[in-house]
Amino acid sequence: MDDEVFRERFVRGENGLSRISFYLSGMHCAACVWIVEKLPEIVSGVESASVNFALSRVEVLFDPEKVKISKIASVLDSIGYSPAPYSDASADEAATKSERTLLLRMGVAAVCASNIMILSVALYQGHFTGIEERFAGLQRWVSFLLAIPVVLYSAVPFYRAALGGLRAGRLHIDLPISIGIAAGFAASLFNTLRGGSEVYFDSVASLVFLLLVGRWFQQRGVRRAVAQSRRASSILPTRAWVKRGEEVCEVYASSLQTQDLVVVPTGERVPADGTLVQSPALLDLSILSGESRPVSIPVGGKVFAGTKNVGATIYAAVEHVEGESRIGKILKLVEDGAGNRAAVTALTDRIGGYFVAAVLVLAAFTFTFWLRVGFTEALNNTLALLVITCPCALGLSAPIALSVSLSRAAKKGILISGADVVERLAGADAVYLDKTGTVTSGGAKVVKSWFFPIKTLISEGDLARGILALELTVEHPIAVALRERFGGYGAELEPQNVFSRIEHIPGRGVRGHTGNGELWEICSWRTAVASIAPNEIQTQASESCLAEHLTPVALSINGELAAVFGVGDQLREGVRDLVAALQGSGREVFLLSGDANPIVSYAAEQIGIKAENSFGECSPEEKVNVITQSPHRKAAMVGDGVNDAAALSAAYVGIGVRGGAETCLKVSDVFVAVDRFRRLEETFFGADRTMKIIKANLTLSLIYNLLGGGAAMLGYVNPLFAAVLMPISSLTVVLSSTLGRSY
Amino acid sequence: MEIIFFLLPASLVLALIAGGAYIWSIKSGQMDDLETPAMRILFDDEEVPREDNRKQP
Repeated sequence: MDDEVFRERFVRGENGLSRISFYLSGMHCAACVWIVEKLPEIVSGVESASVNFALSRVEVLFDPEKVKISKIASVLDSIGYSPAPYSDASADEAATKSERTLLLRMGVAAVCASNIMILSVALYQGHFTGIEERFAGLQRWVSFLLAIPVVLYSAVPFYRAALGGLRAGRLHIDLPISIGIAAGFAASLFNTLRGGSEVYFDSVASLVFLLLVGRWFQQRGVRRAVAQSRRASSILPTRAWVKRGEEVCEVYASSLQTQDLVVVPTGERVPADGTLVQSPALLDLSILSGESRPVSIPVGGKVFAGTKNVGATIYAAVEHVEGESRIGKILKLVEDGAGNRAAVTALTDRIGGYFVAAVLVLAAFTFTFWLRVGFTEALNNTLALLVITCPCALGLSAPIALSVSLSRAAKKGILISGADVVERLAGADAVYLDKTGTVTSGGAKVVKSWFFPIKTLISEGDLARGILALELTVEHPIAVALRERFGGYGAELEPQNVFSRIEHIPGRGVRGHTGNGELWEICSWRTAVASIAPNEIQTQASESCLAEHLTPVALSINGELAAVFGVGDQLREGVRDLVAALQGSGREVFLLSGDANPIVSYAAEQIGIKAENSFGECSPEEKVNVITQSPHRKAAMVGDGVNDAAALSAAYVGIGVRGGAETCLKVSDVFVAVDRFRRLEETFFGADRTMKIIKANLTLSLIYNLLGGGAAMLGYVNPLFAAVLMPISSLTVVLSSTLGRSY
Repeated sequence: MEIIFFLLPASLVLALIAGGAYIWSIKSGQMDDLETPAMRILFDDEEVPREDNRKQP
């Protein structure tokens, strides 16, 4: 963290002090903010630490002469908030700037609209009891002056969107709004000049204000959700160990050069593509291939960035770094593809088009009809129609309901990348689940065990210790599973204290001789029965393993079978319920996997997926084919962020559950943290409920528009009527969207 | 009722002052983070004057 490359990317400097921002995980409350802001007292050299709770960020101002960045990070980690460097400073500045601009426009609209409203009271009163023309004129002129900043500054985003839509050949929802604002303003000005007539400055100004409020809510909600998503660590390690000469030093992964010799200890991920030297490797390639069973790579073979070392420490000569690595290329392909994704038209845009067309037709009709009576009446009534037919519900309800959903979902650990995703989640009629790591827990586990009586007397504790001792010496996923199962019996066990001699039989198992002449052997079932004849119970145990697609592992002591363990990938808790719930909501569920067919169909059966809906032995490309060729046009895909990248991107809506939020959200639309797996149901059903709210609001709005528009066309609308009806309808919509039950 | 010709512009001036204050508060970044300052009022440290005069953020 202290080297040049890191600094260039993350640190900003000013007046001899430097600034760095971190994402912090684990911020829950005010006490967290308090303790992190105490950093200057804990670490000398730190001038200040300023927390932004909503975005989970802290900005630290420090003297680089007095303290190192790594020290700051390790202190933050030690007090319980693990930091991740935050590099998107420029995007964030842009977001802040646009939020500020929106607030400015909103504020200007608020000040002006409220003052215009106050003035309008006089005009309304005058409508009923009479008002002297000079005073009415004053009100109108001042209202006009106040309306100028609203129409020329605050409402600009609507004009831009409307014009942009026209240029793209679409009728954007902001088009009737823009027409209403412009026409309302122009005609009111005309009437102000003429005197003695109707003005609509108050309706126009308050419309602009309320719509901007809706946009502000929306922007904030999305920004919050996205900030949370960037917090998690990504799949590629940011640091690596390099052996230079005799020393091993820790460096920033992006500073690796080709021919560097990287050291990858057990449990760490390979930082770059390279060639294996010195000793063979056992790697978990699941992020690239989806296979949870580790693969052994001989010396001279290729290793890939992002894969996990589950064997002993390995050394590799770097060939391709970061962006050039296989994973880097995959991610880049997907990133580029994401931009080309067919634009999914939001619900409001679609309906908006029809709405605009209908309003314009009706306006033309109203004008021509009233022309028979007089030009003024025609103008006034047409304007009344344009102003009162508020696409507020479309302009407000959908954005507010959606952004409220986004932030509520984010609080529950469901990170949705955009408002239109919610609509797609609700519309998805099929769900494709990836097996490895999604439906299963992705790690080898001892799923079943059988213990048999043997002549040698051994206590339960000694049995466990013996197994643990033998397996501590083996680097193999089955050993990992067994160690986990019996690990509780002595973490500091020294194998040589239990066994005087341990032999490894490559590819088969491990053998241990104890001091008092016992011979223990743990190996695969087939190896064990080659020399020991199993009895019926023992054979049944092994068959049961195979039937459940578990690897049978046998423990024999002094030539007798003492135990059989079934090792396999366990299904996650709650998967069956998830599938049932999804099917209950009318969605068809499928299973996709790279694993062998029998294992996949077995898993499908276990969780309630129809046999014809399970697809095994699929490469990443084949998964994409299954989805794009599916009879269901609106298929959702749930999978691992990295190795299912292409499939997630190809699906109508993609949900990533592993691989880090950042990576997932590059290719998918939603990220659900795997420890909150049950949230997957919520993901879909919350979206369903949100769409229900929006639809209800649209109905309300339709009724309002029919009544209001009808009244306008019939000539009953005066400015008071419009000014009262519109805010009420908008407010109703806002309340219903905020308080409705979504996520 | 002629007084309104004076009162109206006067109240507009007040509105403009308020608007100006609002614009200043946005531009000086006070509206960027609305949650965290609300939490800071809960801190009850005593402000001990430091030799180097550093204040709590």
